[in-house]
Amino acid sequence: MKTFISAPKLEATLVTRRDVFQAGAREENGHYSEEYRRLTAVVELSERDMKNSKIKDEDTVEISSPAGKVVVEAHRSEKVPKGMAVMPNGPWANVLISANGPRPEYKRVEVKIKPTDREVLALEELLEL
Amino acid sequence: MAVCTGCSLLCDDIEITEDEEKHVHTACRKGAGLFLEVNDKKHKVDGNEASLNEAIETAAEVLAGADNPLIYGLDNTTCEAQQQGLELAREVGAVLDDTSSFCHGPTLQLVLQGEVKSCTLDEVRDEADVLVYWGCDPVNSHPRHMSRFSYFPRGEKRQHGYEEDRDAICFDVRPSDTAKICKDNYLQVPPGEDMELMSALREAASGKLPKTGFDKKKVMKIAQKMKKAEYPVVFGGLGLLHSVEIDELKSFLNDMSLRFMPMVGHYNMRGLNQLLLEEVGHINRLSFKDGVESGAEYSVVNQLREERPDAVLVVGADPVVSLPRGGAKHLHDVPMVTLDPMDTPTCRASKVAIHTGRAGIGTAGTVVRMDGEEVEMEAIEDGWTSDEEVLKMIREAI
Repeated sequence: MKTFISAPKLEATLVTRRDVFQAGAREENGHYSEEYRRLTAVVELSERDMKNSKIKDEDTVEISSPAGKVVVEAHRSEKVPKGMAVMPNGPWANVLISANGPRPEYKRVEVKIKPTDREVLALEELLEL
Repeated sequence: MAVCTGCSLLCDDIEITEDEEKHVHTACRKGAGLFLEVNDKKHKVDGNEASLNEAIETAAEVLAGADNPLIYGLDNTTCEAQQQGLELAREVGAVLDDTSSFCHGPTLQLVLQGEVKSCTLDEVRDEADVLVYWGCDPVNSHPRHMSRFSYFPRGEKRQHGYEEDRDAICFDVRPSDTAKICKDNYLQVPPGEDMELMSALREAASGKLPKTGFDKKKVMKIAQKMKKAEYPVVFGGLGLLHSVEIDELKSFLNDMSLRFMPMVGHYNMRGLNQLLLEEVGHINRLSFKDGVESGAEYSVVNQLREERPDAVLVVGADPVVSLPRGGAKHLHDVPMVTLDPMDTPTCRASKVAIHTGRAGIGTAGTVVRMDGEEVEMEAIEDGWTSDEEVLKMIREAI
């Protein structure tokens, strides 16, 4: 008998992007500011993918790739096609990027995403500073 | 007027006024942040506050005592500091690499070596009628690109601006903020399918119905716009570079008579790559250990993955933040010296952190814009030491 999976893990292609507000927060308030974390430790997903995987707007999710795992906040976005996960480039996204190829693949990483109770790490904890 | 180093557009029309607080006019959000940034200018050695002399002495000891030093960055600094960095690399037999090694290096090299046609941003403003934003999102990466130079402004031959004289086209994996501006001229490209798009555009431009999974009608329409254009320019982002073979891109641009400009982010990356090409014949990935060598083994990513460097000097870059986490870990295990205006994570992971002036704010000097134009920067704040001066002092101390 097949077990019903209440919250299926979402499989998506991760793409990193630039964000002018995130860059502004970093320059003005610094890397360790709450504003920088709020605008960087984020993954944007399509409404359909969020609904199918029972992820609500502003839920924390764990994203895993062959390179690592990271916890960020999920945001619904109409600028993201189904099957894609978009993160502002920065230290949280970089946990998921492999350094093993000829160049880091910032634009195409296969990831799995699931809701989690864990909290988003502060930058100092994430980077072990 | 101040010049902004928030990106490689180097906007030179920034006005700053001050009453009870500082106001930055004209700049984008990122540029404004740069001018509003507060910094205590405190240098540190082993996490403790230190004088500039103490920091320089320790930096010199670290670099002189290393067998395999790595000098990384030099993209966010002046041309004068880049020259000092190159001399230092020669003197200590270092590996020298920069961000271009894992971002726009291959496409910038095409432009610097004249293998594809390029132009200046002023020529774009005055003449360009078809603008192709390919795998890039200037609304976020170069926020005033479309308003100062490419889509919206009036130009010598484009007096009716975007309303009548220009077409903006966007190819991207997602409907970005730039794609929204391009409206019906946006074509969604699944990750990795840019080569198929290039071949479909080629077929369509030659009048054939393209064999492709893309919307054929749209490809035909866009290809005709590109073909009929008087002055078409492609702005290439990492999304394009990561998805194509560089030789294929080169022949596509040349066969379709398209001008090309890489959307370089760091404000003087082009300056460094030009300097290295002129002085040593390669744009990046250099070793000065035994004469001059260049190759993939000298890329920062390879060097750190293989844990080669036993000391690292970082100037105008933040590798602890910008490199893949796995690739950056070695930086925590070796003595690192960092020169930066801000208290970056790379500064915090460093044995020596020296806070230097940002070009155009605390430091004067020359900087090369993304299109190759040289811009002279002036300092508008007192009390900063420049990267150039600090690198000179480190060289003298060694």
